[in-house]
Amino acid sequence: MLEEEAGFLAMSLMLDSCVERARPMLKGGMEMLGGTLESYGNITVSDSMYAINQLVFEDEALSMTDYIKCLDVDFDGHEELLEKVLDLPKFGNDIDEVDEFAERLNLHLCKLTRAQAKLVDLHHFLIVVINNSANITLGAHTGASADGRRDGQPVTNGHTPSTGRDKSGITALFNSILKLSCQYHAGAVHNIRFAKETLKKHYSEVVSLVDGYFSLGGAQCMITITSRDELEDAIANPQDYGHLLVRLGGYSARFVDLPKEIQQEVVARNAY
Amino acid sequence: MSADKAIVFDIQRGSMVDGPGVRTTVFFKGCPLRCAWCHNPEALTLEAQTCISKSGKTKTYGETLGFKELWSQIEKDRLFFEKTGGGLTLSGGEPMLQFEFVLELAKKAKKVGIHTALDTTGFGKKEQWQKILPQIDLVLLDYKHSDSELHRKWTGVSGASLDLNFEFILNSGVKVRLRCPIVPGVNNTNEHFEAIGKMARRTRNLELIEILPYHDMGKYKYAELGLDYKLGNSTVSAEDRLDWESSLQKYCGELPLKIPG
Repeated sequence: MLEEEAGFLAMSLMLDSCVERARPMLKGGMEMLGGTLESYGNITVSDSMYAINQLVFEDEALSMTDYIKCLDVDFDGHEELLEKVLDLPKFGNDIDEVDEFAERLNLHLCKLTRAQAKLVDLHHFLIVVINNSANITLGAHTGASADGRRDGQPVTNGHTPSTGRDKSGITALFNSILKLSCQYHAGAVHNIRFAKETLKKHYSEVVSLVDGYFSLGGAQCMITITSRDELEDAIANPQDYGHLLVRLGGYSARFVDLPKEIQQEVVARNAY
Repeated sequence: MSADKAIVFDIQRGSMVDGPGVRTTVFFKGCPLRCAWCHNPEALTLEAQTCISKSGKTKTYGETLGFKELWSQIEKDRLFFEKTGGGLTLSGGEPMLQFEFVLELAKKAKKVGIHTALDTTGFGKKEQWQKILPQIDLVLLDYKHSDSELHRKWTGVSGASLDLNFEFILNSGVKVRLRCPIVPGVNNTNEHFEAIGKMARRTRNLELIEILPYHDMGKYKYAELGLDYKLGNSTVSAEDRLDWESSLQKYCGELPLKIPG
């Protein structure tokens, strides 16, 4: 379909195989064509799977039907359940039982997608978990989830923990991320925010920590360095903060240009 | 308390403020001192404490952990310890109050090559210090007040009662980071600054003099626990720090000195 809309002729001219074959890139000019499919809110899903497994199957605290009923009404009148769900451990705290669900989901999505390459007529077809800011848009259209996320709240971004749920220290977060296989997808984003003060006082520790993460197999790390005060002030006085760039899962934007809900989501992210 | 069970009130992973590199800090519960400025009042008793937080939630400070349980938590960050030159910090409260357990932990860490720091008031029996120091890579030694009686007034324990242990630790050759809380109205005097310099010069293997300016971020915990906060509204201004810095530099001269900005 893309070929019908646009032939990418200029780009094809720059590719040896297209020139040799005298064909545009999407019409037989390439030896191999690959594509990607993006998945969103993966960690919201895996934390939800953990919560369901724990409450419905392990503890038998409620039935799946009742759980769904509570989600349908956005936990309204079920505050006790909501509190219980929020208190359950979440991805990002180096707890094997929880992180295992994230890895199972990751592998499932990766392998399922790869297996569809023939169906979509591509040489390879891979998942990406990058999300930019679409996790907020999609979250706005997604009802309450079993991990305690309320109706309309953002779903998780990339392979980043639910906002504010990574509570066990930066090394625990890195360890959780390292459990997710990265060799089967075409990219995933891990947002980590450091407080400006941490960098000022502990620069060499942070550098060696990030170095360590990569040498242990880390594939990507999206680092933001800010102070919360600065971000809050930027929301109030956008005119003073034109310079403030905030990296959000794979793209860069001026903080002051972001819609308010995204600004608030960035402020709420955990800082180390 | 025994060698296979301990009561701790927190385990912080990824700490960058309790010794070199990135560390896991285990906070042992229980302390024989009662420092007026203590920012961990939940650490004072050896028993678990339950209280109601401001938001109305029940909070319990203190969890009894088995050796293996705690060790498995520590081991998880071993690779990051190696990469960052960090390790394990035994803190509290006063970890020496749970000596048997702490000794076993330090021995285990030594055996597998994890750098271990002991954050202490210097409290304990001399035999205990003799046993534990060979297992420790760095002592974070709190030096609170140079006047023995004022030490008693502000911490509940006389300075003289810790003198012998200080002597032993400083002479042992173990690496020492002298940690000095500076609290306005308590020990921000030239006499004490001079004593810090002297104490540092008596240390055979001094790594650093680390100044810890008083802060009141522990105050809310007193309200939660139903305890009196005795210090009122002391604050440390940027000018105070500059004053201390010039005074301390005078007395410490060439010694490595760190005052957070």
